[in-house]
Amino acid sequence: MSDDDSDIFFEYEYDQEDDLDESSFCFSSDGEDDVMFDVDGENSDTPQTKISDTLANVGANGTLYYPWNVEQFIENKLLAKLDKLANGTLTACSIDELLIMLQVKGWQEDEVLNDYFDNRDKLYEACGLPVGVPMRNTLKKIKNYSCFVCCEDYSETYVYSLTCGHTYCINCYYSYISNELANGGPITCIEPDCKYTIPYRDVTDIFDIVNKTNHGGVTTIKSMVENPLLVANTKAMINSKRKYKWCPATDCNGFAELVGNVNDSVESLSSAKESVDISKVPIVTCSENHEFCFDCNYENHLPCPCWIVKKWIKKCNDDSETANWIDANTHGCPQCQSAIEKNGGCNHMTCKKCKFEFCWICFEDWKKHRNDYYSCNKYRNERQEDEQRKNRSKQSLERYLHFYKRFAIHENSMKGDLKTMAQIDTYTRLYMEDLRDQGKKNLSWNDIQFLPTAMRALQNGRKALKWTYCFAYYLGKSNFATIFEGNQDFLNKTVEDLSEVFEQIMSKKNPDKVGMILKNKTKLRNLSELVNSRKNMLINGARANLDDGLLWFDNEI
Amino acid sequence: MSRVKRIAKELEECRQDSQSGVILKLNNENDLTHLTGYFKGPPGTPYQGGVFQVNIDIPNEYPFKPPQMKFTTKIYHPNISSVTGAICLDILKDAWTPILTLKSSLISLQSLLQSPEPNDPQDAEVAKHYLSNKAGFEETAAYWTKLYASPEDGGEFGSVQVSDSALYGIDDEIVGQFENMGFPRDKTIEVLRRMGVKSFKGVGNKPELENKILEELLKECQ
Repeated sequence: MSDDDSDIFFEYEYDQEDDLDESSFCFSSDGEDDVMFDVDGENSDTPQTKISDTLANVGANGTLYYPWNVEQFIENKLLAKLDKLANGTLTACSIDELLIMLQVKGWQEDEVLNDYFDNRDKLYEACGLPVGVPMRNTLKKIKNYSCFVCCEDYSETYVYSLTCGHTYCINCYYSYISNELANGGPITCIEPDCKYTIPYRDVTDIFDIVNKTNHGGVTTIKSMVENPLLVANTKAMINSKRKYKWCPATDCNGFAELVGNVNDSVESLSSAKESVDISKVPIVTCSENHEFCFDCNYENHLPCPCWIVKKWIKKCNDDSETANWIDANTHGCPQCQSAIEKNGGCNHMTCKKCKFEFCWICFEDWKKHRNDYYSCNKYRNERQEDEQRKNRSKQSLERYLHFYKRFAIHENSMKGDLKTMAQIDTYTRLYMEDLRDQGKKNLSWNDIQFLPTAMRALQNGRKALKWTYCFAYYLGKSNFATIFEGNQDFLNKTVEDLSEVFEQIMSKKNPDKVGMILKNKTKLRNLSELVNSRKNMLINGARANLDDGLLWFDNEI
Repeated sequence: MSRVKRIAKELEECRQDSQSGVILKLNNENDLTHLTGYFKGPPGTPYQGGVFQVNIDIPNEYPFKPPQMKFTTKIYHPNISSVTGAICLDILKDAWTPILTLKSSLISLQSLLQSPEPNDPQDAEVAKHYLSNKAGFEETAAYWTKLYASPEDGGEFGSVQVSDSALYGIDDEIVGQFENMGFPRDKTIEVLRRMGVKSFKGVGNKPELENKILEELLKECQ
């Protein structure tokens, strides 16, 4: 907390002064190392496994998909095909030969089989495999060798050659292969007109030896799923096919395979331009449980259709210059005018200077919110009648800022929630260890599972809420739009309530975090249920009303 | 790591080899990554008698990635940009292998001059000229060679009087015809270049083409 004397200070909801993430979207990306808090572990709720022959996962919107990462994909999809051929129909071929043939034929095992029995020699030639002679690839250590490519004179080195006998040093082969990997295709002998293909296992051997001798490392490639050639080939394949899409989250190695929708085939999923049918928005998750839209590569943006999202993002990018950022992200305290930036947590603010309590959304006294109804979400255009024409452009900006501000608030709060979660995680771990040291077993693993569930509900609730502001911005005026806003208020209130419970738990004033968590157990459970049901009600209501033409998007905006 | 030794060895080999007619020079004695290559225009082509200069940048991954080459001498050739000198040649892109060398690449460039591939052009305007009027193309290419690649004056404008119409292989008669109508010479050449008109020889409907050129010129000179 900043205590300096300047007029302007920033109020942080949390004690830690972490840098704010500048990226415009945050993915709920905390599942990775968490054993205890499987926060986004929606997959654990679904009985389907990740093996392709079994049922696909069902996403937030009835989308059928498989979550993958490269290793799982190689293991379950590609190596399974190899197994099938190696142990069934093509036992005469070696693993190396089969892998090359599968790669050349785009992993279509039927094609490999057909071509093999059609004309074995032709297939072998097309794959760069030796015809009529045995494979004579050699990787050996020799003395006093001058490599033609790198012009080094080695007193002792490994050299590699394929059946053709063109020999080069292992370092050159390592560099050559590393460079060729980007193409994703089979790699042939260095010699320009020589078409012999380097087998997968030789790549593993070459990489292992070079890593060991040059980089002082131990053997790094342990299994086929880590084979650089196979990984590069897989990535190239994922890039080239429309049914796969990489997870857009930063540094995520996961991707999703789209299968279809519970009601439709995969073809009907690419939503028609300006369609209002949000039941077709293909929401999927990757293997790391990052939720994203398969069509537009953003996070789960329900209840908005993709084209509205694109329009909104474009508008936000166009308009979000510094002035707008300051306008939307900071605000003077309604009483003492100190500039305040909110970086997470609930909307019940207390000014650090004058101790005035207010609502971050409407900037009214918080006391006014004490009655049940939370009504600061509605956009009121009272002044519109007075100066309608004169203020038209100003109002359009104001209207946009009204929604953008709320959109941004929830986006920031989501980031704040992630921090809260990390902290809660730490406290609970400490407490658990403490108990274990004392030999007590008061707190069991299952007892705290309500916590990640609540956190997940909070995150998803906020995410949906965030996008309802984008939705509401483009929404045409109607009675149903008013009802939508009412439902939005309900969700907002519940999300804020839930957020406030977390806030209390994390408050500095309360040293016994775990006790507080346990005390609020029922409250957290009930509130997360409520958030989930209200979120679903809002989205389902929007879907039904869009379908029936009761809600529509105003093209003028 | 292997790059330095390899380039040094290539330079040394090239120095000792007087047969190939290819010369490699370092731009700066302390920098092995920026070189200039020189070779003679192959005999029996419009490039005969010229000496062509190629700028060579060696990437970090050399010899596993191809060297970046472009002509610094202006040259009129379908696979070489007449403006930037960029080269369209497979061995300098996908077909590169570490077995190839700077010398062999320059020799490949030399043979590219001998056998252009107008169907896979870098410079569309030149390629069109080549395909529609080979004699006219050769005349222009020879003119460019004389103008830019002559060894005596290092390819600078000098003893040779520059003719802007010959530079683009355009019949001087046409340019004169429109000049006499009062159109500026440079605009006329620009329009004719854009329309790909080199001469009226072999044109079926001459008045129609003249009208089209006039129309374009009027637009241009508005």
